[in-house]
Amino acid sequence: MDTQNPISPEEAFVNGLPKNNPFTLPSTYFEELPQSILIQVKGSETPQLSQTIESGFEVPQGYFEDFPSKVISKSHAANTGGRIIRFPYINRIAAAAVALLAVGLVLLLSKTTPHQTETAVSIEQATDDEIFTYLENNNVSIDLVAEVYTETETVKNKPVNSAPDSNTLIEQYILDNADEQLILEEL
Amino acid sequence: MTGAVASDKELIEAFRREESRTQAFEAIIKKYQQKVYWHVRRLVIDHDDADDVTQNTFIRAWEKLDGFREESKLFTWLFRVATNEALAFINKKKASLHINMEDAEHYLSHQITNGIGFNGNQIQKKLQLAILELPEKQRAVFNMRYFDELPYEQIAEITDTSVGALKASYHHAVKKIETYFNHPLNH
Repeated sequence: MDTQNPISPEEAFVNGLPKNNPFTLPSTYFEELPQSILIQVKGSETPQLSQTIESGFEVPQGYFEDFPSKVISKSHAANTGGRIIRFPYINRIAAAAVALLAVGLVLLLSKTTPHQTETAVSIEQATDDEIFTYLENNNVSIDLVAEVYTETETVKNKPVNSAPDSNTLIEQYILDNADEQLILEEL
Repeated sequence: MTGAVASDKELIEAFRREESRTQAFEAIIKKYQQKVYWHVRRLVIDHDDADDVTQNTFIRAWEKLDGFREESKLFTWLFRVATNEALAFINKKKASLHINMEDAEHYLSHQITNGIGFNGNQIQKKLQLAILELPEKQRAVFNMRYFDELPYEQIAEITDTSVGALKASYHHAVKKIETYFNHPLNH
């Protein structure tokens, strides 16, 4: 109240009247009011009120409901994206040279003269001189072809799975030595 | 927003973030629902009407809080919305029931006299009946000053009225209430 101005007798009288609240209302009214309002402002969906986990940390509303679909959609995107495998630079040069060589040989052996057609029947019958002459005429480096050939032969001769793993050896041992009758009985 | 009650500034900032909007608004309702409700209840008297107006107040707040410029306190802004909603509700009700001001006051005083949602003593009953004699806006001013003990400056912001006009209005209200109490017919 304003302490600077003197209080009128009327104001003093009114100030002496009880100020406590005489109105009543349902006992749970204020507990239910926020939910009633939130239902209206959020539309027909029942809003999920604050989720406070026991640890005290909070997560956004609907986080756990949306989580599986988010994971699924992300994994789907990763699958449909496919994978790009990049080869080393030297292998790309080798592949290009081999392709060029193959095309060149096909062209060389498909000359339309009868003699050349006969030669093309067996590529292995072409002499080295004929091949070198062709490559020189077409500006193909003999050294590069030699390098590619060496690398290709090295890869070809490398043993694949030369050392079987221990599981395969054990499996093979059991198959070789097990009593067939016993296996059938187990089935 | 766990633990201690968040400040208005924190609540408004959280409301403006989509992910925490509902949670922040729930906290705003819980913080101010009782003050808003009792302010409205003293104006409309009936609990169901007060419930409607209180809910409408917070629904308006949900719609307009994004544009809240923080030039005033959140509480002041909510009281302004609540006052406007309550006064609009009273006028709408009078218009829909085709009753005049005296009949409306009679209806409200009937509720108080018959103890519908009211359990105050004789003096409290008489005070409420005296307040009902005031014009609606003066009633709102008197209630905010007398029961809520708001400073004139804050009431001026809520009602968009000058402090001088409010002081004069309150002074007249006090005189009317004092006269009501001392009138022989009201004993």
